[in-house]
Amino acid sequence: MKHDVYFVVVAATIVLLLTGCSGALPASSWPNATMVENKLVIANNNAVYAISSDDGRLIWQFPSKSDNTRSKLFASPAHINDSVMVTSDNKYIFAIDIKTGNEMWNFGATNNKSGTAPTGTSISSKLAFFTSGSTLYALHISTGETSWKFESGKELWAPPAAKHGHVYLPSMDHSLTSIEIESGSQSWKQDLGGALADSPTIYEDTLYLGSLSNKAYAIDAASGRIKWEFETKGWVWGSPVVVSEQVFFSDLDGYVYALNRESGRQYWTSQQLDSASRGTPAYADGSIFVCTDNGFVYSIDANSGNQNWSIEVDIKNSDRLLADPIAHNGLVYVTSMNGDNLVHAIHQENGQIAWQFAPE
Amino acid sequence: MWNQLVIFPITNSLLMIYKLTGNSFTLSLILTTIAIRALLIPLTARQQKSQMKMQAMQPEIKRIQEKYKGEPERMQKELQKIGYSPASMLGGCLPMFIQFPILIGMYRSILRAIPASPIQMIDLYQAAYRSWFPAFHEMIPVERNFLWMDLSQPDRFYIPMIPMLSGIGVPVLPLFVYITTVLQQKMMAPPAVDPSDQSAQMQRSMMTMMPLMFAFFALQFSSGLSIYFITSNIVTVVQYMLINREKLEWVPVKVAGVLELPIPSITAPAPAPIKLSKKSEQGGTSANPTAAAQEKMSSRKAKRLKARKARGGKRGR
Repeated sequence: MKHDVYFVVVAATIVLLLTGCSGALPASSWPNATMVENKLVIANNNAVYAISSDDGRLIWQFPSKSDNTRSKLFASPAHINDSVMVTSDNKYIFAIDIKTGNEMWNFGATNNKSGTAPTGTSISSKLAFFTSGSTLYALHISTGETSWKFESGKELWAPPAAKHGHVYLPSMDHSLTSIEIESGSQSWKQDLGGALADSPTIYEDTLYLGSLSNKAYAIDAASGRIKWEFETKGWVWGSPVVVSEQVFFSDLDGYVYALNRESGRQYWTSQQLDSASRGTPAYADGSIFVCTDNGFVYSIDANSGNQNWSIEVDIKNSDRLLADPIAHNGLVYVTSMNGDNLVHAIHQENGQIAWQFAPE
Repeated sequence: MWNQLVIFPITNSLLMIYKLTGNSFTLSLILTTIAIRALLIPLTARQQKSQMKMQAMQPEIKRIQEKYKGEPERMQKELQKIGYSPASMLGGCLPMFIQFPILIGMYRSILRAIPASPIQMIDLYQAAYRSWFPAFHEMIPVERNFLWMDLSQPDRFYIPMIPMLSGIGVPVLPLFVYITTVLQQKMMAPPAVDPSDQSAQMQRSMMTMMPLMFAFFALQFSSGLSIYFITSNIVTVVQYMLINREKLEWVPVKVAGVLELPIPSITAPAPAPIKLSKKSEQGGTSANPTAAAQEKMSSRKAKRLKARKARGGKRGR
């Protein structure tokens, strides 16, 4: 009997070593946030929080009690009318009342047995676009009923971008596909030679996106023709941000780039940051804000590429800042993975922490 | 440090073999496991040889234990003289313990090499030796599906066509992990001299718990890890068979009390004569363990041994 206990202890230790040390099972992604008026809505593993963007006060939490079927709510919530839509990487999408935090409807994709990468939702006037496994679902916003489905060759790790009556779907099979919103039929497909893990940014008639092949692209939205491509030092994961004539993005080697959006000509490349920068940069008042895997937030001058300030948000924990930063009303909001706090609000001007939010 | 020394090299080896085998991660896993086991051969071969020595000593150990039943100190001394210690009885399970750090490294490397989630993809980017892979982006995403399996997820085979069973996943690989671990252990563990002995009890406990433990891991963790377990068990068995190819005999063994499978078993070889103390020689039992061992053998085996000796100990054609 003593020996059996001994082996149970050995087995438990090994299980802990396998799971705890790997960090693979507890979290599959990072918390993401969306600004809805003056509410910051954050999806983080097993809950969605709406907090005041002014002071970090909790407004509501969804679900109010722990529920395993809603775990892994990591992807950026999408806002439409009076609701936000959040997806969980175990194949569900939930429509939540933005005022109360109550569930309006939910939809479960039955084709996805394992459920892995969490992807966000994108929205047109009538439909919400949600991906599960390799399937794109177009759901009616008011009811959650399926309008049409589209099958991709490989997994979909990002929601499509919607505009001009089309959705533009990035896929891990290296392709970008244009699909008609009305019918769900394919207009064109462009192979970009690298996996596409985030949505394209649509500006006028051009799609801007990065790929996991050290390249950023500008693509004609109507035909799928590549207008220009730019070679980077590392993988470009986050979506580019377009401001006037410039397009900004960062890469996993820790560089930030500024290009001319028409020609793809390079304005500047920043000095290498401390670690990988995954997210879509935020822009406000002539500054670009990016965060890094080692827990730093940087403000970079949009004209010169010089660093204005940097701050490590949580010195005592090995924090990972992999989500997209949000710039709003003089503050930059970043969500973190491993730290004591889930949200850090930082003054855009000087990099000082304004407030932090930790769920109870 | 652990990452740089263990995880990153294994991850990159897995990716390199994946590329060389035409993007088959299963084949890559099998070949990497064989390579790891090959690196461990000096350690495991020594272990297996010491086990064989232990098996050869069994008649003598039993004789000493019977003779000095009431004198434990004396019994210990006599056992030590012939080179026996109870700790060595655990030898059958030692290769399993050696596996644990490798197992943890392998598990984490598998998850890194076949990223199923964004976090794992970023971890892979940081782990990859990009100078080894000039067109690294072409390998992404790494193909992690094989037959019905997603190698990054625990294995469950969902039976198609039968609606009643459509939601029930059969853990095929964990079952194979259990079976191969039982077979490996039954083959390699030396027979206990005294079943009531503490070390024999511990050995029995290990024989029951270890396969269950590994099957539990296989049930909980990625099916890639199960492939590692199965390959590793098979390689260990083959290695043991090769080392002991002259003394192999197929013996039926029950797995989980149901399934009867023939496994290769080693016939106890004739040990070298052991010099006993004068007092023990006076005990009336044979001072020549070779003769004692031979008495227990079947006459056919004794004849074979004799014939081999006549040929100068060399194996026939």
